[in-house]
Amino acid sequence: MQHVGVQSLLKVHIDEKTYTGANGGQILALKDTQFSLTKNSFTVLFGPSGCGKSTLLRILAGLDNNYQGKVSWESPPKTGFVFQEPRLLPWRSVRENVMLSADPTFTADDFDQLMETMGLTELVDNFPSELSLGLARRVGIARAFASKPNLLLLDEPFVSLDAPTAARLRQMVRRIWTDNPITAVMVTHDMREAVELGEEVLLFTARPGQVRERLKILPIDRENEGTIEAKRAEVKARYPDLFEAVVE
Amino acid sequence: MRRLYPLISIFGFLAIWFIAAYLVNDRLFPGPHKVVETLIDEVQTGALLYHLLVTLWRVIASFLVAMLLGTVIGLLMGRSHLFNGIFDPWLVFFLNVPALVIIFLCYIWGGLTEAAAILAVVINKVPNVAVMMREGARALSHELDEMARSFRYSTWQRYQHIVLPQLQPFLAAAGRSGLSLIWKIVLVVEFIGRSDGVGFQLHTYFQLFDVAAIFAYSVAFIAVMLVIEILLIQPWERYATRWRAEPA
Repeated sequence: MQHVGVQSLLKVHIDEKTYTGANGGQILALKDTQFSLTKNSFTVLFGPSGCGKSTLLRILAGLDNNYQGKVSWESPPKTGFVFQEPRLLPWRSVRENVMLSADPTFTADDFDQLMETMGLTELVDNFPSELSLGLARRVGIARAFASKPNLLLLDEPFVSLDAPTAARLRQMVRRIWTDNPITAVMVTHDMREAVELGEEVLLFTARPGQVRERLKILPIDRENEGTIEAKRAEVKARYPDLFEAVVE
Repeated sequence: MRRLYPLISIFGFLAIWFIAAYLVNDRLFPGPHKVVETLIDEVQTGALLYHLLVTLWRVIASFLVAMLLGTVIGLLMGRSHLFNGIFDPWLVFFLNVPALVIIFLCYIWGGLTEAAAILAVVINKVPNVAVMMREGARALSHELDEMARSFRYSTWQRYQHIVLPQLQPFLAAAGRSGLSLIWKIVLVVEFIGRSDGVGFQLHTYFQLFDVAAIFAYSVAFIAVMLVIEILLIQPWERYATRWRAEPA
């Protein structure tokens, strides 16, 4: 939760971020994007496809340094990235995939417990090709937590999963995060997901992406489906145009 | 029944050969029984084993050097435009220089020595390996590289767990085609400028028009290569590709 006077962990001020499109032209992805994150907050970046949310996440992860602007950290972050396509090593088992990225202080006991929480205990010796997309995503999420990051980045981690699987996975992420809060940034174009997990939602405009609004979600009873749905409807009623651009 | 087809094919061939040799009744067209007799003779004198081992060592030495050099050159060319620009014309050049010309020049400039023999084989093989490994380097996944960067894999971890497994099919293909090409070139090299090895023996028996001995040495060497294929290459490939889902 955000308190007055809490120092921000990270300040982002992107003046301009362009990338080269398939036809060779320059595409302006972000322009004058500003926001800050406080420690142990869960922030959701919400906006239409192509508004530069994922680009922003890659900048935060240090995977893209080709932009104009400034990202200033209170201390150098250790990031754990949950990719949209899980990006597991197909030739390594679930256990190896998680342990290869794990922090040195992450013990075998920690591993067993994490697998238990993620419902992966029976599958630790399987290869990724033997897993469904939902299970592979779980491994991707487990890998990020095992790396003991102080900045967790999630790029649409629940997209293209069937509704019950996505709901279960969201619950798992929420449980791990609540037990051990870390600063988290999640990109999504699903407001239900944003409301269920985020403490704060940054609404982005269409390309070039800018922060249009900072929405506080808390306090909300997350165990109650009704309140989550009510909140989503409330946001939708307030920003109907944002939802038009987003395919839900 | 279907499993018997190859056996029927082989024994059918042997039978036709036997009958044809009987009808022709000429020293220059010996039947299979003559080949087996010569083979047993050569084994008993120890000549066969000695020359086989000499050739095998040349095959292995030039194979290892060619694979190593070709892989390094191919990877550099696949990853760097500069290297590709510099080496590409020479790659095309050496791919098309006749093997015989390279062998002659190596012997003329290097003398009829072991080193010149191995060098000639290596120069013949390196361009093939480089071409295949260049494709392998170009096919390396950008996504997995990003994953490794975001989780801060060490350089060694990246090679061991990300680069090498992706290159494995290319290494296997280069190794397979390499082995069969190399042993043929080694025989030519021995034929022209060595005084031991299977190629040298074939040279001797060629001058004597001893077809049975030529067959005997060919069969023995093919058998050795088959054993290498079955005992080394196939188990390694099965191990390296164990993570692939079985085709349904």
